[in-house]
Amino acid sequence: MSDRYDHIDDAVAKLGRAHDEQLISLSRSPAAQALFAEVVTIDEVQRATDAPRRSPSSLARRPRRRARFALAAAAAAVVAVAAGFAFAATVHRAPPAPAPVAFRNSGSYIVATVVNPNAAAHELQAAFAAHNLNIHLKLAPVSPGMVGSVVYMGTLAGPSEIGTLSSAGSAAPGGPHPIGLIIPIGFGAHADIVLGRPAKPGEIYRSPGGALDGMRLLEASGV
Amino acid sequence: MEEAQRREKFRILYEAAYPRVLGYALRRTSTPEDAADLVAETFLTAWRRFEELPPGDEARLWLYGVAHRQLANQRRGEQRKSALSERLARELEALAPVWHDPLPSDLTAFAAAWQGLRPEDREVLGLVVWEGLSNAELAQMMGWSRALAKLRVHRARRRLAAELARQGVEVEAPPAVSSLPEAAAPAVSPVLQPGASAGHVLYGRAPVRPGRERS
Repeated sequence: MSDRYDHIDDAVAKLGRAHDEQLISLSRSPAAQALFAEVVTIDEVQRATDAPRRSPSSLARRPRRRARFALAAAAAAVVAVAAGFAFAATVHRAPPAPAPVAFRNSGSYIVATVVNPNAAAHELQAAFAAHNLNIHLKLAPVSPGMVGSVVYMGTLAGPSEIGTLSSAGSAAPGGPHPIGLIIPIGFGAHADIVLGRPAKPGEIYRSPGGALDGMRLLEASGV
Repeated sequence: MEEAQRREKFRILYEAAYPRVLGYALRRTSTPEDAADLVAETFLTAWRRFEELPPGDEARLWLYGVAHRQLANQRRGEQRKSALSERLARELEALAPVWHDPLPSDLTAFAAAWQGLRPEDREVLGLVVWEGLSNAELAQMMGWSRALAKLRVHRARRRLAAELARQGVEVEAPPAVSSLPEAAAPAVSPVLQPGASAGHVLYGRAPVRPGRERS
C-alpha cells in the first residue's frame, strides 16, 4: 500500500539531514565522553553533596543558600582532613600553604573540589599527585556561566571517565559554581584538564570554542 | 550489579546507541542546545533506569521512546535546560549544515507541507523513514497494537499527500541515485568531512531505510 507513497517517503528522507551512520565517530568525541562521565557520576555527586536526588536542571533551581551550605560543608570537612595531612607531612616547613584542592572519597569516586581557584598549575598538580592521581589540572578565566565547566579535557590512555562538579548541577543560576572533578577510584591514566574559573577584573575570557585553540591560548598566556 | 560493572555495561550501550539518539535529536530540533538537551536527558534517564532496559535491539526502541517523551516535554516548554549538555551543545554547533544551510530549492515547498502536518504525524513518519522502524517496531515503541501503528503510518502519509496537494506541490518519483546532482546527493556512503574551522561537515544523501515495511 505504501508504494503510492514511496516518492513522498523519499522526500521525507531528504529532510532528515543528519544521518546516523555519519554520526558514529562522534560517539567517542570529547563531548560524548564527557557527557557519559557526567551522566554516570551525577547521582553520586549529588549524594556526596548531601543533595536530594533530582534532575540536573531542577538542581539548578535549588535555593542558593542550601547549595552554598552543602558545598561549603563538604569542602570544609575535606579541607580539615587534607590540612591535617598536609601538616603532618610538612611539619618542618612553615607556614603550611592552604590546600588548593579538597579531596573527598565518595563510594567509588573521588570528589576533588578546587577551594583556591587562584592556585598555580603546579600547586594543583601537586595536590592531585599527593593522592596518586596523574592529573594536570589548569584553570582558565571564563564567563560566569562557564565557571567549573570543562574548557579542555584529554587523557593519554583511553576515554576519560572524569566528570565535573559543575555539570552535576550543584549550583543555582547566578550562584557560585563549584570547580572540581569527579574521578573514578583507581583512575590511573594521565589526564590534562582545563576548567573554567571566575575571571578577575581585566582578564580576558578564554572561550572554550575549540579544544586545541583553548590550549594554545592558555599556554600562550602562561595559565 | 556492581557499580563498575553497571557502568561498563552502560558504556557499551551508550557508545552503540549514541549515534542513533543523536541522530534522532538532530532531525527534530532546531538548535544545538535543544539537541544536546534531548541527548543528555535521554541518556540520563537510561542510566537511572538501566535495569529496566530490555535486551538486544529492543533497547534501541526503548531509548527512542524516552527521547520521544523528552521531545514532547521540550516542545511543551517543560524540558529543563540540562547542565549536562553545555559541552555537547558546543560540539554540535560545529555541525553547521544541519542548523544553518538552506534546504535544496527543490525541497522547499515539500518542507512547507511537512511543517503543515500535525507533530504526531511528523513523528510517526519520521520514525518510519528516518529511524527505519517497521510498523511492528513502531507499535512496540509507542505501546500501540500493530494494526494501530499501521493505521497511523498510513494516515500520516495520506495527510502529507493531502497537504502537498492543498499547497499545489508535486513530488515526482526520485531519479536513480547515480543521476542525482552532486548538490543534492554528495555521497551515498557515510560522509564526515573535517571542516577547516567548523569541525565536522554533515551532509548527505538520505539513508537506506532498513526494516521498512510495505503496508
